[in-house]
Parts: sequence; C-alpha cells; structure tokens
Amino acid sequence: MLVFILKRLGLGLITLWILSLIVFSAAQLLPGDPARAILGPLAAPSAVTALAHQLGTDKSVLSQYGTWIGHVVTGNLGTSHQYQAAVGPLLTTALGNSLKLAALAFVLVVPLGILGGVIAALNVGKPLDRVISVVGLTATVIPEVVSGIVLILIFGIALNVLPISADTPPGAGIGTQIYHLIMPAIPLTLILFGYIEQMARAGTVEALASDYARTATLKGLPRGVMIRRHVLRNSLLPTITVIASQIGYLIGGLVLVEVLFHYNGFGQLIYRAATSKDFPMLEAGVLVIGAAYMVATLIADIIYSLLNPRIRYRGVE
Amino acid sequence: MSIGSVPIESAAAVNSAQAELRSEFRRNLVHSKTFRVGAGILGFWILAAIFGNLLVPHDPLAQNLVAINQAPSGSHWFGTDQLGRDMFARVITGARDILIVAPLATLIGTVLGTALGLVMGYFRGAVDEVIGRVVEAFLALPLVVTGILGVTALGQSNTTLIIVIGIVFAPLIARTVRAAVLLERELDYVSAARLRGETSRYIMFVEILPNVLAPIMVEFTVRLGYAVFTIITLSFLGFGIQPPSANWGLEISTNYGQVTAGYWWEVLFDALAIATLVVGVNMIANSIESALDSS
Amino acid sequence: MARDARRLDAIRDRRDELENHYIDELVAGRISRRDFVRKGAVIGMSTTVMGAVLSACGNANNASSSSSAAGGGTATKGGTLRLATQAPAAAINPLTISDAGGLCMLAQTGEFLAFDNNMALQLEPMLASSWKPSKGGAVWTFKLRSGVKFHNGSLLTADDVVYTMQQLADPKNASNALSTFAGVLKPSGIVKVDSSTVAFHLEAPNGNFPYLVSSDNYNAIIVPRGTDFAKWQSTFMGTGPFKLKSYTQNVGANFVANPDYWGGKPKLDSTAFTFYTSQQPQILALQGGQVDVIVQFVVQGAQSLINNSSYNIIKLKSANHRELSMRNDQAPFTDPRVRQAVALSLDRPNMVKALLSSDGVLGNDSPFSPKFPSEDTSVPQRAQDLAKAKQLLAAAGHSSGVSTTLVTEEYQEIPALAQVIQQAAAQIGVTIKLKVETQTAYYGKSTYGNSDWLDGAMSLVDYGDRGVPNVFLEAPLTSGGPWNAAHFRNKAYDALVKQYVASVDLQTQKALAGKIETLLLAQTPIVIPYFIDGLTATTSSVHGVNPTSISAIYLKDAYKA
Repeated sequence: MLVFILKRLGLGLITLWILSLIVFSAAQLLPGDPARAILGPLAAPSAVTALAHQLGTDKSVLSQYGTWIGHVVTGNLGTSHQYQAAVGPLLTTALGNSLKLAALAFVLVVPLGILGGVIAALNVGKPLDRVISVVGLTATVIPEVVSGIVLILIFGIALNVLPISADTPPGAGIGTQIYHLIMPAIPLTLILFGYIEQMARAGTVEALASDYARTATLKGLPRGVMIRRHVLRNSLLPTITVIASQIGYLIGGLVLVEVLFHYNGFGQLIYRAATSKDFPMLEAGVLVIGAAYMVATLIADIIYSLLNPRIRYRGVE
Repeated sequence: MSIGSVPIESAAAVNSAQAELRSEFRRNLVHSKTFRVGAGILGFWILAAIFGNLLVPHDPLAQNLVAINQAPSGSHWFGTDQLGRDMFARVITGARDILIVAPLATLIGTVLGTALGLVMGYFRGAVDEVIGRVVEAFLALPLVVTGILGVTALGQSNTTLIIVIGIVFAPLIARTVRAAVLLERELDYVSAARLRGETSRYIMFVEILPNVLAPIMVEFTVRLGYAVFTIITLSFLGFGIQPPSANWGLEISTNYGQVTAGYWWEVLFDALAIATLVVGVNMIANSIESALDSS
Repeated sequence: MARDARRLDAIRDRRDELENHYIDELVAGRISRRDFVRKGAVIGMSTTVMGAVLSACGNANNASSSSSAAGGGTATKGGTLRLATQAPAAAINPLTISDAGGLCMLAQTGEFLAFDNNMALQLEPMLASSWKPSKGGAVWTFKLRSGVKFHNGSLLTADDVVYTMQQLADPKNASNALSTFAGVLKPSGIVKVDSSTVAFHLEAPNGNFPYLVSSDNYNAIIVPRGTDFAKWQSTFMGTGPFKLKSYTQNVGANFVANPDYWGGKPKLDSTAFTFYTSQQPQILALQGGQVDVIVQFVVQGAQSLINNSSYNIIKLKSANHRELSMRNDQAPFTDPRVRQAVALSLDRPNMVKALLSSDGVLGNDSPFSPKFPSEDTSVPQRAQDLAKAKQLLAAAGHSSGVSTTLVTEEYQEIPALAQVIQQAAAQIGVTIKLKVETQTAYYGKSTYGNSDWLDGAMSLVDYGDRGVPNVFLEAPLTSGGPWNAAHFRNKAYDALVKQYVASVDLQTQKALAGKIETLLLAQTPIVIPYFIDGLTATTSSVHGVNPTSISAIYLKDAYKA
C-alpha cells in the first residue's frame, strides 16, 4: 500500500510537470505580451521593451521556463507580472475566499443530498423515488448561469431579499459574509445535489439489502440507527471522491459563479491571469488545482480499494 | 478449448448476441417515457433552429434603436433587448450555434478519446503510462483555462469552440474506454485473434471496438449534455460565438449588466431556454443508459 | 460691453505679447469670455490678471470660479467618504500605470504641475504656481509653488520636478508618458533654473504644452527625487491632500487627510475606496448605502441611478470617443466615396439616444469634440443620408455592394455599437462580418502587422479623454502616427496638424481646426459617431467632489452634508 501511494505521488509529480508544460506552451500562443498588458495599448514601444526587460519576458521561452521551474522547485511561486507582488499571498487570499464559498455550498448540499438519497432509497420504485431522482439529475445538468440568473432575478431583484454581490466590505463579520454567499452557493449546491443524492441512494439500497441489515433488523436495531451507521460509510466517501475527481470541472463552474456574483475568488484570479497573460500567476493557479486533483484522485483510488479489495493496484502488480 | 475451432464459432456467437441486444435496446428505449420527452424537447429546438426564422414574427437580427429595452408586450412577447431586437425571435432561433457545435465537439472528443483509450488499454505498460500522464494532466486542467487559452490562441469561432471542447472531452472519454478495453482484452476472442496473427490495429478497431461501443455510446450522450453546458459557460465568459447571431449564453452575458436597471426579460427567457435544452438532452442520455443497463 | 480702456491699458503694459494678443481677441469679440479664461490659463496668465481684464471689459464674472461645485447644505466637517472604483489592473507604479482604477489611486496622493479641471473645463495651477512660454512656444518655464511638502515632510523643489519628469521622458524607462512626450520632450530638455523654477526646452514648438505636464498626462505626478517607482506602491509618496493609510490589492485603499496640505486641510478626515471588477456591484453598493460615490460609470445597466433624486449624477463633457477606421490602403476603402458612404449610413442621433441614453454628443468624424475651444463649429454636422450613400457606392463602382470584416474589442458599449454599424451599413449594401475580441487579443502588440486593431480592414477602438486634441490628431491620423489604424497618408493633413500643434493662439487654432475638419469629412479615413460624457454618481448628501473624465477624482473639497 505504501509503495503504491509513493509511486502514485511520484507519477503525480510527473503529471504536474507535464501540466506546467502544457500551460506554458499554450500561453506562448496567446496574442499580446505581459508588458503590453500592464502598460496598456497606447504605451510607446520603447516603454514596452523596457518593461519586458524588467519582467524578464524578453528572454527566450526556454530560459523563462527554466527560471520559473527553478523557483518552483525551491517553493517560490514567483512574482505576478500584473501586480508586481508575490504570487503566494495573492493566491492564498483568493483560494481562501473560494474555499469559504465551497464550504458553504458543502454545508448546504451534503445533508440535503444524503437526506434526499435516503428518502429515495426507502421508497425505491415509488413515485417519490422517481421525483427525487429526476429533480437531482436535472439540477446537476442545469448550468450555473441559468440557476444563478433565475436566483438573482427572483431573490436579488424582484424580492430584493438577498445581495447580488458576494463580496463584502473589508472587515465584515462572518454573518454578513454568509449572508452575501448564500445566493452564489446555491448554484453550486444544485450541481452537486444530484451526485450526492444518487450516491446516498445507491449506498442505502445496498445497505438495506445486505446481510448486515438483515441481522440488524433481526437484532431489533432501529432502522434509523442502521441507516446512519451504514449509509454514511457507504455513500459519503465515494461522493467526496466523485466530487474530487471532477475538480477541474467544478473550478470551471466556480469561475462562472464568481463572475456572476462578482466574487474575488480563485476562479476569477485564474481567469484574470489567463486574460492578461500573467504567466507566473496562471501557472501557480493551475498547479494548485492540478495538485488538488492528484491528491483527490489518489484518495479516491485508496478508498475504492478499501471498499472493494478486488481492485488490484496497477502499480503493485 | 481447442484452439482451431474457437475463433469462428465465438465470433458468430458474439455477433448474433449483439444483434439481439441491439434490438432489445431499441425496444427499451422507444418505450421509455423519459426518452420520448427528451427527444420531444430536443426535436423542438432542432426544428426551431432550422425553421425558427420563418416562424417568428420578427427578424431576430433587426434592430430598432427607438424601441430599446421594452418590457414584454403583445407585439414583443419576450420584450426587446438593448438594441431593440425582438427577444422572442432571438430566444427561438438562439439554439442554432449550440446545436451545431455541441454534437460535433462531442463527436471529436469521442473519436479522439476512443482512439486514445483503445491504445492505452490494449498496449498497457509504457504506452499506457506515458499517454496516461498526459491525459491526467489534461484532466487536471480546469475547463475555463483550456477554454481561455484555446479561444484566445485560435480566435473566436464555432470551429475553435468545437476543437476546444473536443480536447476537453477526449481525456474523460479515454479513461472510460481504457477501463472497458482492459477487461475486454483478457477475453478469449482477443487472445484468439492474436494467435491468428492479426495486427494490433485490427484487433483494437475490428475486434474490441464493437464490444466496447455501449459505454462509448453512454459517454457520448452524457457528454453531449455537458457540451451544451460548456458552450453556454464559455459564451457567458465572452469566449464563445460572435455577435450579432442570437445565442443564449452570449445574450445572457451581454444583457446581464442590465438586470440592475430592471430589464429582467433580456436574460430570463434565454436562461429558461438553456434549461429546457440541457434537461432534454440529459433525459435522452439517461434513458439510453438505462436501456443499455437493462438489455 | 462697457469697457474701461484706461484700466485695460494699465493691465496691458505689464503683459507679454501673447497675453496681449488674447486680450485683443477678447476685446474684439473674436473669442468668448469663457475661451479667454481657458486659453489664458494655458499660457500661464494668473486668475487675478484674467479677472482684472474681464472686469475692465465690463464683465464682473470672477475668472477664478475654478474648482469644485460646492453644493448646498451645511458642511459637516470630517467623516469618511466611501467610494467605489474599478480595481486597479496592475501594480500602482506611477511610470507604468495606465488603467482607470490605477489612475484613480495615483491621483489620491499625487499631484501634477497643473490640473486640468474637467468640471470647469480649464487648466489650473497645482504644484506650479505659474508658467510662461518663450516666444514661439518652444521653451516653457514653470515656477513652483512655495512651501509645498511631501508626506514625508521634505520640501518640494525643482530637483524633484526635474527627476520625475526626466524619468517619465526617458526612452530607456518603461514609462507610459513616453507616448505623450515622443517628439515633444527629451530628458535633456528638462532643466532646473533655480530651486523653484524648471524650464522645458521642447523639440518643437507646442502651444498646449502645459497640458502635457498636467493631470491630463496622468502618469506625471511629482514624486521626491530618487524615488524607486517600482516601490512607490508601498508609500504612495506625494504632496496631495490625502496620505496613504493602507492599500490592499484587489480589495481597497484607505487615505487620511494631510493636515499640512498646501491648499489647507481637507474637509474630510479620511477616504475609503473599495475595488470592484465590474460596474454592476458598484451600482448595488451605492443603492444599498455601502458606498457614497461611484467614481466612474457607464450608462448601460445604470439607468436606475439617472433621474433619481436620491443620487447626484455629475456629467463631464469629454473628448472620450469611439473611432471606426477603414483601411485607406486596401480595397474597397481606397476610394473615399466608399468611406463616406459608410459614414452617411449612420443614424447618429438615435445611436446617442440608444447606446448612451443621450449622455453624449454627436461626432462629426473628426476628433474635435465640442469640449475643445478650438473646434470650428461652423463645419456642418454629417447626418444620415442613405440615398446619397448608395449613390456614392455606385459611383465608386460598388453598386452590387461590398463585404468586409470589422474587428473590435470587448469593452463597454462597443460590441453593441459594432452591431449598430453593421446593420446601418447593410442598408446600403455594405456587408460587414463582425469579430469581437478580448482587449488583449484585439490590441495584440499594438504595432503594425502584430495587432488586429491596427491591421483590420475595419477596426473600432476607444479613445479616452484628453485636454487637447493633439494626440487624437497625430497618432491615429498622421502619416507617421503610431496608431494609424486607417493607414491614412495625406500630406496636406500632416502639414495642417503640424501647424495646429505649433500654434499658440486660439484664432489660428480655430482656423486650422476648420480646415482639418473639412479635410477629414472629405476624406473620411475614420468615423467618430459620438463623444461620451463622463459620469460620476454620488448620494445626494455628498458635495464638492471633483471627478475627471479619466476616472480620477479629487476630494479636497468634498464633504457629506
């Protein structure tokens, strides 16, 4: 097992390196250059040349990449071209904001999803099961733009009860922050609800049919206790791994929600870095997501193997 | 099992079994209520995209600068936008680009992903490891980054969108196909073909491919829904289809700034239209999946 | 006009040739009192002198009506003003900064030699107390205000001004001011005369030079000598009415009143800016009472603020415009008749109404906005004429129509404008394919051959406000201009512009402007459909804010009542 994990981590590093190469070479194709992006379209060419020299973007592509990777290896993510500030703190702040949003979405969706799944499982084949499943699946495929817009029109404009803008004034208390994040969290919640509900449903159905359940029922263990014990184990972990393996996709949705609700998060940061060709920022952002993805899929694989010992590890064979 | 007799018999058996499965699958599908509703919705939007221009009371592109931002009324059922264009006409005809881009992008992603998955699953070992790393790297790349890089590098057009979404989907499909091939290649008919001295290419595409079509088909329909999703997302972020053609995502993105002025009709109907199309496509995908499961 | 000849003569004795020329013009009625004040300020006439001239000419109006419009209500001293502004897009480096949010920050603590007051439409002394051109306008001498202190306590001297200006004008630096100083000023031309006097020796005579060292040249805030511009962001070291308290990237900035300000302590105790990446949340913040001011906004989506008594909307006449260029060197636009036809297809009054909610004025395909006193208003306004447009196209041999591509940027109302142009042109048989790009993609490297902006067959771009039309006349239209997207090469035009830039007095400028406007109408290398007003919104309790149309805002006299 340990060998497997170490090997996977090693492979993960290689993947991250390939990822950095992909982003770097794709970024070379982009029109414009960072110095021009900072100085604006109307700056004199000599000024652009001078700034490019200061930023080091006038060096050869290979040497730029070399410098960058050299820094990364020593834990230095570099300096943002755009803001002339260390990438690390900028990234951390934005990531913190996005995590707040994600956390709120999870707090909303996990209980709701599991509740929905359990109710559906207890009513397998009945209309209620179908209704919950259809609602869940539909919610999962509705783009955040659509749910976000509808929410904004109803709660933000027509009823005017929730703020449209997720950003709070600096120093706002946790209550205010949550109040501002409720609406942006809902589209994310809707996207995730279907997954969790399906997992919970499958887990519960399986649990109810298992020997364990039959024994438990015979022993007179209340159904509620049985479901709580069993369902959580069988459905929650796979759910998280499914979400983890979709992280690239979810970040896409996050950008959208952040743009829609004007939130200063990680998605917006990457979006701005890509549009202004702020290479150190873009690379760092993508690598953070990449690393999260690697770790998440690794955990997913480990959990699967624990739950289902029949799966053999490719690396250990 | 005698080596000489196996291939012919088993191939024939596989073929007839497949034919039976296919007809059962078709029966299951046609009888599915979900499939019928989904197909109905999709059919509506396809017809609207093709013949919409003839059916709507106004030209979706005709501006009227003296009647901008008008609320829904008898003459403009969904109101007018910031250039005085009829929103009803624009919503009805707004599916056209999406319905061209989504299937083509999904097709490219499926073909590319299937090829990669076949190669990875069939050869395993070093080939699998190397391609696997690249596929993994692409999987870890957030959609929006791929979108921005692709669209800004290749320029904004339907073709770019097709290529970008195809590239995003290929690794996802490759992973599914690889898993299916890994199981399939251990079966007798594959070893038999190998003993017959067939080329790897023949075995991959002629022997194995027909047997992994089911998961590929499921992937295709599921991805089709996501393709619509992705087009909308990229259009909203300003990386999609060019104006003035009516397009739901672009429309929401340009008119969204106006909702604070109270012009809700300029985004709501587009949003609802997107919802119906996505749900329709997804219903089809689900019913195909369950029809395959039960057959 | 009751004129006091004796008083006037007494004033005249002490004035130089150019000043007397303006006095003559005023007396002869060739320039208005308003233009007299505006042009007088440019050549360095003090407000006292101008006031004396005007009163001698029978006009009691005070010339120093200067700065902000202090509104009604009783001034409550102190307090914090909360403002919403666009988030700076890059580091706050006075040399490199170019975006609206960054410029707004720069002007909070930094000050210029002169201030282009966009509300009063005149140039006012700021760190320079007066200035004078040499004969012909090739050397300009600026006298610095005495007793001005930087926020670190050191006194402002000529050395600081020379250092700052030389850094800005040095072609080896990444200075955004280079595009303004190119062909005008070299570092060697900036000379300290004495500890409070600086002389600028220009490469060519320039009648409007003071604008080039005013707030109009937004990078030119004066910083202490030896300042490392790249580190300026940590101190915001300047001379202004407010001092930096804190600046947080992507979040906001706080400033406190400078008790030692040369113009007197500001009314407010402090200001708090919150950064936004788009307009909509700013509107919501104003409506929700989270901010008192939106520094700058556009009409789209803000219709609810206008005509609402809870808010004051400050409108600034501006030269901010959109420019549609047609490649004069490529078919079909080699023929001026085709270019004219496109210009004639536009319904400008309705465009201003629909795209700007009427907060703008018609353009006449030349950069002379009504804001500039030198505009020749007798040149007739171009109006929509579809019949004539079709006729011109047919005469040019395109009766069956032409097709082309229009490339433009994703910015404010521009995509909508591009679609309006597309539909208008379609009426006369000109088929336009649109290509709307992100700004980065559109501008590219901003050099010929590497930029969709400069290379496109038709290209639609935005130009921000300027105090004088020089940049608009030169860079996008002269043969050697760096932003000549129209690829317009016209010797007669180049000569006229050269004369215009060198000319110091208004009558000459007006006469030349008339010729330039007529030439541009005949040639139509570019179409300028409208000029856009600058818009600032405050709650009705806020008074005395003084915004500029390049999205800076001056808050020395601001207060909440």
